[in-house]
Amino acid sequence: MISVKEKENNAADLHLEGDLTICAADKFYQEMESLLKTYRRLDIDMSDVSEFDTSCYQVLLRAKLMSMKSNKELNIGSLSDQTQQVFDMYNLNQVFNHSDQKNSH
Amino acid sequence: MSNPQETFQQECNDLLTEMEGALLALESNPEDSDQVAAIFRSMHTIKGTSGVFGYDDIVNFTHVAESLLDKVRSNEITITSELVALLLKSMDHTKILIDLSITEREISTEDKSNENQLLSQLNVYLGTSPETDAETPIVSNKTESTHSGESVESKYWHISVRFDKEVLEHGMDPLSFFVYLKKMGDIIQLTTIYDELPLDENFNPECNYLGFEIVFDSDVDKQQIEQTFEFVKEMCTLHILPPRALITHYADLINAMPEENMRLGEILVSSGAISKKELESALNQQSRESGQQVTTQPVGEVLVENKSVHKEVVDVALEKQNQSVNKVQQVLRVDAEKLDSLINLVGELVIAGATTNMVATQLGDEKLLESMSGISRLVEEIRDNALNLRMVQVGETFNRFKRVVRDVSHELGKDIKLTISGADTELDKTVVERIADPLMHLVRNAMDHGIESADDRESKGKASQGNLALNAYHDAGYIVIEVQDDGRGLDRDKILAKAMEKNLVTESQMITDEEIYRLIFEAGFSTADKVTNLSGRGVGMDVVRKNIEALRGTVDIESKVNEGSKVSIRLPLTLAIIDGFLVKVGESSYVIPLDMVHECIDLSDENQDDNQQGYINLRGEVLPFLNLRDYFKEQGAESSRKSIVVVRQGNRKAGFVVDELLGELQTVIKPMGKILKNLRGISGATILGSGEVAVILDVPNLIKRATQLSHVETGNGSAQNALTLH
Repeated sequence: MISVKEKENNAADLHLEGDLTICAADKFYQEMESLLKTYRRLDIDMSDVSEFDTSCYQVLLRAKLMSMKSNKELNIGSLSDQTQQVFDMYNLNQVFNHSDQKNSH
Repeated sequence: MSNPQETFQQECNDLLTEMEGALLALESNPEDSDQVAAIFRSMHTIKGTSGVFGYDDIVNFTHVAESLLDKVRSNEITITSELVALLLKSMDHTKILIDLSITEREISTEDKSNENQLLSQLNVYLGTSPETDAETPIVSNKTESTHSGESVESKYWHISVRFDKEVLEHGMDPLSFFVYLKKMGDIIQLTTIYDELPLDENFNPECNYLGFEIVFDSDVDKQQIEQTFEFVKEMCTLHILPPRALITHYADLINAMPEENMRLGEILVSSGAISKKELESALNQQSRESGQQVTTQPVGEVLVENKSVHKEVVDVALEKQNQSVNKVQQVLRVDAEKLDSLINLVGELVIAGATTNMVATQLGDEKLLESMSGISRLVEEIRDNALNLRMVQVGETFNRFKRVVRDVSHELGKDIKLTISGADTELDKTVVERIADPLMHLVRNAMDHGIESADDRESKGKASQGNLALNAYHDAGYIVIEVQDDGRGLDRDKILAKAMEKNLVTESQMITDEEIYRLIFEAGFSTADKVTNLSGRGVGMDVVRKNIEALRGTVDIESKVNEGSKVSIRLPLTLAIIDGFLVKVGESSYVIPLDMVHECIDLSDENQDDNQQGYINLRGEVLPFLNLRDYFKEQGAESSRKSIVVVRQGNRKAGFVVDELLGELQTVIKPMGKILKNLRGISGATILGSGEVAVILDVPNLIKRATQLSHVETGNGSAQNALTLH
């Protein structure tokens, strides 16, 4: 589900793939929690996510809010069509601060 | 509460009760702006919640009353007694509308005509044309003349939806509903609200924490939009406002929103009342001004000044913010059945505890006994706490009578003042509910037949204003409720004559004044006699007595001619579990409510002689007593060393002769079967730890028996008949 590639300065690239739906939500949450604790900055690539629903969107939203709270960075980069639709619908681009990357995949 | 309509009705009833209290307080003190605010708030909340349920009839009516209250609040209209009377009637009509809406019944012609009359009168105060308004009650999306009736400028639908937490687990994704919605029109703006998203360990990734405010452009009707959410209608709270909806509807939406700590601006934006840009400019202006001035102008005022939003919407949002800040006391509504079930279980726990305790005692294991004593203490605490959950203050019931006294005294042309004391006295909710009707009867009787007209009073040298007092206090495990008036009092001789005519007493019988007054509680006693000035004083009084006795209570009456009467109702505090005192007579066990036990003494040889007389000398005091062995015809071996348990009720005392004292016991009251229900001297039964059944004594009744029997023993031959009186 998540491949992690460490970078300099306590940062990591996360590559998400496959289905991110309620079936995977708990595992996704646990992994994101642990990654947030480990790294100061996370750059997330979602271009290979095939299914994406509200539960996993919530996990990402919470992770973003937690990162802001603990003065860390969480950036959402490339989006697949499916994830793009969800981000567009929920209209919280100001929170995710990823309007620039919207069509970058 | 499983049924939202039921909760709605209950909440409305609570609000109406509050409103009634505030209106009556306002009548005596028209300057009290706090009461005006409270009345406005209640009416406003009823209107708002009715809107959520789609009860348009209530919304239309309460809207007019609310507009009037708004004018009172802003001092445009002054409070007069006529206005209070009109508002009281409007309140009554609101209650009728609520009942009709809940039961889905149509309004009767009579009520409709009453409504039109009320609307006409309300509109007179509002300064709008009574003819037009009376004939066409305001409907939700028509433009009105008052500022509160203006519509918003938005030409779009506004959809506010809050999904339940479980919605995701049920396989429903909010996304799919929005995708479907998009097929019916354009989502102009969707605001996701994540205030409820927990950032701590309480977060459950399978629960939904998001809420949504949607500005929607479409030609479809409300029903079609509702149908979009048909699959989740049980799992979401949905509000749909039509294009150009009334501002008041937006205000209602804000009121109904679950987010408590949302900033005012966010509420306004997410409810679609103003745009984000307007909010941003308002916030900018506010920060600029705060740099120059010492006092900061609140966002709300800035928005109103900029004409970005109407004052009323801001007021409601502010009120909601204040409510969330001021919310000190949290109240939780619990289904009464759940409480009953809890109390039943606690009762079973008490019995099971007693059994275990008995087994532990038999085994004689010290560690086990020590542990059991800890458990017993906890069980007792759980019992007290569980019973406390059912306790409510009697004041709420008393307050209802303020209105009754006001209305009935107007009706009778009498000037009557009601004084309430002991309103914070608590008793079991079931008892409170069942005592309301008998109390109503007593209060009405006192006003109608007890208190004289002003002229009569003056001719007797009394103050022209009559006094009626309701009082409550606790006394030895019982609550005493008194209804007292300073009227003409009961006519002893006439009651006695009437009782003789009905063969209730004989001429030779010696009965006390108190016993004579109690005759008015006999069935059919006073209904026939219309000549006596008692007329009606006893009508239905037997029903009052029966209702009170059904609650294991008693009723007494004191009266003095031209000074007034006092009816005292004595009721047990609870109907479930009590502290008891266990005694043995022959082979049977009896429980005496511990609160009534005054002391225990040995029945010594010295007073054995008096024993035959039905009374003993207790430190110079005459104490009537009852030998329970004789009274209950107990068989079995007699104890050589008997005891007397001295019991007390109010100022009356008596002794019960028993074979053995067994000590305190937590007593779970089990009702008697139908066959045994009418047995005198017994109020219930309980199950002991051994599984044996013990009878709970009806102490007040037995004290009376003891008193009467001692009276018989002391030589009044015909007094045997007196026993049949009570």
